[in-house]
Amino acid sequence: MSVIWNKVWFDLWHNKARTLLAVLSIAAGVFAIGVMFGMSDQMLSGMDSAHQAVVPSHISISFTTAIDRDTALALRKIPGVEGVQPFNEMSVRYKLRPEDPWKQGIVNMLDDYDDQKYQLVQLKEGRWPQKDNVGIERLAAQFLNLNIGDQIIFKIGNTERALPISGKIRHPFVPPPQFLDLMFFFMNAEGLERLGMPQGRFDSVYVRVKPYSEDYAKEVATAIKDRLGKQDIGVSSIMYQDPNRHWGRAFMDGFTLVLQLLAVVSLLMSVVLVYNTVNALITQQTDQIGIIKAIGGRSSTILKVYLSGVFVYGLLALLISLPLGASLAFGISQYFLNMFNIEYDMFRVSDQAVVFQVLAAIAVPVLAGLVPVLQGAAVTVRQAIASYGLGGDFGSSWLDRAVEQI
Amino acid sequence: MAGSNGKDTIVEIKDVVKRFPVGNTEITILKGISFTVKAGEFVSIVGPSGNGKSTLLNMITGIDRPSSGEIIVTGKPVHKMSEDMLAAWRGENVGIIFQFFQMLPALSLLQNVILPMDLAGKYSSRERRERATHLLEIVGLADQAQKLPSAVSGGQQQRAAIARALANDPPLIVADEPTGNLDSRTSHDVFDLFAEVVSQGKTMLMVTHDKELAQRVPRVVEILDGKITRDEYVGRPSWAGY
Repeated sequence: MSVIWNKVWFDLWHNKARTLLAVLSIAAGVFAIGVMFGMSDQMLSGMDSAHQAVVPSHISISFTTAIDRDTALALRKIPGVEGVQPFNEMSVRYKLRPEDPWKQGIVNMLDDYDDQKYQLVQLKEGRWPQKDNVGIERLAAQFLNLNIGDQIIFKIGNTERALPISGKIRHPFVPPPQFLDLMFFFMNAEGLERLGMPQGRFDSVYVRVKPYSEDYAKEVATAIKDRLGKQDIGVSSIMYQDPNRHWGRAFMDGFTLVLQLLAVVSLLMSVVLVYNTVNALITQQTDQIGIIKAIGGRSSTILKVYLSGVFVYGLLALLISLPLGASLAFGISQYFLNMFNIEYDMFRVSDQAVVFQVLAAIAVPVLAGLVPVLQGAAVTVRQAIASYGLGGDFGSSWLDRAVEQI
Repeated sequence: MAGSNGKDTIVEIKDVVKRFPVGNTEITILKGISFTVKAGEFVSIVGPSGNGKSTLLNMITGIDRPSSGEIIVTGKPVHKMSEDMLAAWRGENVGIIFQFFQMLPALSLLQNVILPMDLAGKYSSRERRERATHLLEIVGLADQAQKLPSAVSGGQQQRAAIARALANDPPLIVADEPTGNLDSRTSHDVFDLFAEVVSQGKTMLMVTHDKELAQRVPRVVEILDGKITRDEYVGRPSWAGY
């Protein structure tokens, strides 16, 4: 190995302050890249994966009056309808203690919790709801600090009825309680009858179409509406859902884009410092460059020596920022995904973020240092070390000539 | 005219003119210099300060370029070569000894001597180390080999510079005021090394203000007002090649 590498090591080790400053500056930018891009990748893909796993409906239709099961299932005959799942979703008032004010909640009811087709809800703890108990959405349970067996008081007509919690259930499409103070509960058909919904009747259906496209889903929804209209069944609302993209993506896409831009800005600021550091180093060592060239070193040697130093800065920065970035990216992703009711407990690293971090740590500083290093490599021996005096190049610039006129 | 020993011409200067821009004008430092140096000669270039001695030396090594004229060294027209070509050519053909030693501060004396061999790709890795160690022994620095330049004296650095100049076994050694920053005793020691180098067949060109040293050199070329005013053999005939 050439002894010139000893110079590279010497320059790094014996100017620890400069090395540390350059490394930490690059590490800050690379860390930001790792966190923001890693978080974005994990979160968005995690959201979409979780969304796809629950077999989301393409259309969700609510009626002005409840329909029976047969009417709901007959909708399968409409061209384009792949399947139908009737359900109920009703507003309810609840409170935890008799002295508390009433709060708004939503009650979901599925015909058969053990035989779901779409918008799958998952039993996380306990049992599915029976006639005299309720299930509670697990985020709601967490938010309200409730457990199985705890009582919830529901307003039923002019009376109140306390029902115990039978199980904690995950619903994939509930907004985080921190954002919207709206708790979700689950009942079976017998339980919902207390709230005025007869057994066997439904106020909504989930529908999937085949083949799926947003436009085709709208066509099928119109056909369903027309068919029901002929039966004097009104449609109060139609909601469409992309089966591949989580409903929260609209919010998170913008949020993560801003964070990614901030990370890039942070990296660019480190680029400025790297440029200045390398520029100062080259200026300080111009005479050494001249010596190396005088004893046989070419421009390529100079490039190799000084860009290697920058490469080492980047490598050290990567060693610091890669694990830290991965850890924080996972932690933040886990936090947000949990907020969207998505479990994300196994540590993961985003491959995409690692690639970006490697490029940011290695390629970006080398590119930043390239200009001053190229300038250094272009220095001639004469410019670097020849000191015979006739003012050198004085007079060659406009400033020199202006000074001469004074 | 200096004595010739019939050996090959190693340096040929033909009508070299060198001008420097100063403000809006130009100053002509060398006004048509011509001379040749044969292989194995030991030549000192003398003259008052500012008369172009170092300029001439720099043009011979390719560090500077003439405004006009030709400079042929070891058969190569150095005035026409690119910077990278000059760097590679210097590494193999010219050993340069600077007034201010110019050792790389980050490398030990041994590593400084190895470096030209690394840059030229000459010898195997082991041979480079062995050769550098041997050269440092010749200049009396074998026990200082692992020290950085900052840990040794000026005289020791200059001796290490001589070892470095000999690293690639170049045919031509060039020294610009090599004793300018040394005391007289060290200067004599360094000059003795030069004489030893020449006795082994190297060609040596030396710019010096030291009249006593200049008198010990076989051939003196004096530059005054940009022209060669004297070019004569002044040393003992027993010098190698004479």
